[in-house]
Amino acid sequence: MTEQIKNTGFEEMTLNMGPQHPSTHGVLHLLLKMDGEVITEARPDIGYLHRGMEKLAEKRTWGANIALSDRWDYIASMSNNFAAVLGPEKLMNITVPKRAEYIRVIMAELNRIASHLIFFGTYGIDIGAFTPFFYAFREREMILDLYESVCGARLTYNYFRIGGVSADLPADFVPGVKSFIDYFRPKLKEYDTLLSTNPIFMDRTVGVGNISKEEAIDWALSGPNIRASGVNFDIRKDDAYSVYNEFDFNIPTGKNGDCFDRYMVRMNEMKESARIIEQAIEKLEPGDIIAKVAKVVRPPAGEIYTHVEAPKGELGVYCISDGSTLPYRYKVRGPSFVNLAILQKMLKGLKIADVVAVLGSIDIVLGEVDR
Amino acid sequence: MIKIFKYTWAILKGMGITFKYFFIRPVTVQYPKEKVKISSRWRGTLKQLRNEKGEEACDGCRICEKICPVNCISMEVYKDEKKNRRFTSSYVVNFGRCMFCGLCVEACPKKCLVHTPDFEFCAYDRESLILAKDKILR
Amino acid sequence: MIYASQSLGDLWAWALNQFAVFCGWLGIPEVIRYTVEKGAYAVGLLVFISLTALVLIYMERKVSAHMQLRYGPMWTGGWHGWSQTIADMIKLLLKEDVIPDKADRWVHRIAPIVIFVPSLVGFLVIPFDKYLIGADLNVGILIIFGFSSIAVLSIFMGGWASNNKYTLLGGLRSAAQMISYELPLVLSVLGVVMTVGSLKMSDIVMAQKDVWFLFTPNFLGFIIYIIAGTAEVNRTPFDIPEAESELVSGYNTEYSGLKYGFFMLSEFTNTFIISAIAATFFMGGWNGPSWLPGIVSFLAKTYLIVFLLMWFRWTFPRFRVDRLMDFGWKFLLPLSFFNILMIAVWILVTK
Ligand code: SF4
Ligand code: SF4
Repeated sequence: MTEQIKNTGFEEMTLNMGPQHPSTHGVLHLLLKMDGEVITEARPDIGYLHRGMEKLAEKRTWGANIALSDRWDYIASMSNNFAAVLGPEKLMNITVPKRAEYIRVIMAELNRIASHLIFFGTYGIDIGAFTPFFYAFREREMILDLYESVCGARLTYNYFRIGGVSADLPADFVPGVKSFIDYFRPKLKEYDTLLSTNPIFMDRTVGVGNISKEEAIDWALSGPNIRASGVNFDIRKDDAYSVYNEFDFNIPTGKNGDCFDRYMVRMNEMKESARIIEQAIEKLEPGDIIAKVAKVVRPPAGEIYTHVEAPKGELGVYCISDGSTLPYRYKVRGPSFVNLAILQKMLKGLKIADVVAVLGSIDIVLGEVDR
Repeated sequence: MIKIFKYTWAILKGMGITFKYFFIRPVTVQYPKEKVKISSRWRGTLKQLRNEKGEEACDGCRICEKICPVNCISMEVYKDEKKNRRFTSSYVVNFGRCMFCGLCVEACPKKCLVHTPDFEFCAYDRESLILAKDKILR
Repeated sequence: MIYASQSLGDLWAWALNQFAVFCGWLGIPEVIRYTVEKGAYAVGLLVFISLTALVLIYMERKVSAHMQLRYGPMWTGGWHGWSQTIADMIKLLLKEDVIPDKADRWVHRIAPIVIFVPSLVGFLVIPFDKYLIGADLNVGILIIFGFSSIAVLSIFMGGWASNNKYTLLGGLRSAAQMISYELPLVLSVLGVVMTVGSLKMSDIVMAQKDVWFLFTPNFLGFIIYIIAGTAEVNRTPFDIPEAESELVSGYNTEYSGLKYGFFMLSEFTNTFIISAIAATFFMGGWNGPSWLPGIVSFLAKTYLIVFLLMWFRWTFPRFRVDRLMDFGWKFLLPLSFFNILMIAVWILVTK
């Protein structure tokens, strides 16, 4: 240290941000080297929430793994369920009934809205505006109420089953979703006035934490983060799973890949999700909700990689089956984990106030980073 | 200059929204006094049902025990020769581990294991979270 | 005589008068009379300040709650949780007072006092009513600004002495912020001082008998004042010294118990002072409809400003440190110079 002061006249300060810090979104530990308020080096230190999900999965049946998948990205459990069921279904060549497919899509998209609402709220708090958080949670609560009426849980849904879904929609679900969407659209405008067009907010986010197109691809970003950099990559379109190819929706992209673009991509994605839900509700017809599958499944030996477009990005599951009731290997590609890596590059040269703006804009969930 | 006006306008509009909500009735619920209505499908604590004869319906098939991802159900089973069916002599659920996933309820062939709409289950120590049959069988 | 007047200020003046007569009759020397008078006023002021702090904290909670579709405290004390703040104060009193191991103990201890005392002094020169002013100094407004800039020192002391990187950053930030916003704050008030031609608080109030300065070209000054004042009391959007999501809690991260209570209290008393000055300088102070006691109209105006500040707080995001400086030096300061120029021209034209 003294050496450094002698040479440069400055001393670097090491700041441990987290694991207990109000805005690291859980137990992320950021090791920051700082020159005054400017960051010269940043190192994310993860693992505080490690639960060994992948190893646990090897000792759980394929069906029970869906229940565990709820805990990866706990604010978008439906997408996790989605990723968890696709693998065994493909291995076993199950055709999921049409109604179940539409229900899955509705659930996943509602979950995307719920997850982006959390992003909106917490991002507001990161930037310093508290009130949007409560507005976002009010809307999210309505989605959770809908979920509760379907599957009986508000956070860890465990709703998808191999071959379909666990329960049919209750009678008041479809009108409930319709009225929610009607209610939700004007609220999005309100959000825009509260944050998106607020000059202070724009000041904080525009031009902060830029990721170029090439960088985004190099660091294997996915989800809204890569789309904000202008790469039109969405698994729902590019590798359409389930029935996503039947819907008409746009993929919002950004230009500069700064915090504001990442934020706006998510806000626009909510609109598109609402559109998908509307279309899916139109297509909903009575029918089976689950294919004929044995209670305890034994997928044939083989390996497979399936991925879904989770709210955070590409959520992939690579599983190897040896023909028994338990998976032989169960690897999860968490989008948050991969997206987090670029943080060390982005933070260099930014101010400490930007740390939270950048970190928030990547939208990570520590449950998924550490698994 | 135009920028300043635009910004001021955006700021005022934002303030308008918070002001509007200032007069709208809060949406939160005064929890212990009033409670939200929860859905009939709520996955709360577990409960065993009796059959129409008033005896316990569970026949100890152990399916729920096997399917539980976190192994929180344990039971002992004996065969009642007179009635020619199995009974459980003990049926213990460790709610400290239970994650209320609902797999056991789904799997129960007798449909005698159900969720209660109880979401306020809590205890001072972990031991009291382990419920035996006297509490579960209702 | 006393019944005819409705105003607390008149009542106070009448009481003083009676007391002077009484002293004259007893032959009590002037010094003692003066001391007793001011002592009584000070005691009243202290009671008023603690009540104000309680009310403000309660108000902040309720305002924020209702803006966020919540109820806020609803239980403590029965009606809408009115005694929640009192309960919290008791809690703070009973809490263990933690001083970090490597802290600069003496500075750490003294910082909360250094922040609280100046905010008390500020109250002395605020004219609550016609005769209700602790000391009607002819440099009244300077006293307030002079003392309120001591708060920077305290925040920096607290930040430095805690020996914590977050508090240090918070302290540094607040030093930079408060000093740079002090300038526009004082300059914005200067417009009013120029129009009145006096620094005396009572003169300024009297000058607004007919029309508030808010409705004169001083309007610009009012806006600058509110912005700079918000920065001065470290409230969102200028709360970067505390910046919860960045610096945990800024300069008071390491404080607990009663000392933290002092920091919190002084935040609210400062808020009140800033609002009270706004009410005095731009909204006519205790001037108001004749049927309303002066103190009531004064408090109403003050609380209006307080509400405005709270409204800001619960609507806006937070500035970034360097942007804040940019905004202060490159926008607010030139604007306040322009304001002074404008007022000068206006005075020339009208007089
Ligand atoms: S609800 Fe899930 S965790 Fe709980 S006992 Fe049933 S299967 Fe086990
Ligand atoms: S699955 Fe049902 S019948 Fe079988 S042991 Fe469990 S509760 Fe009893």
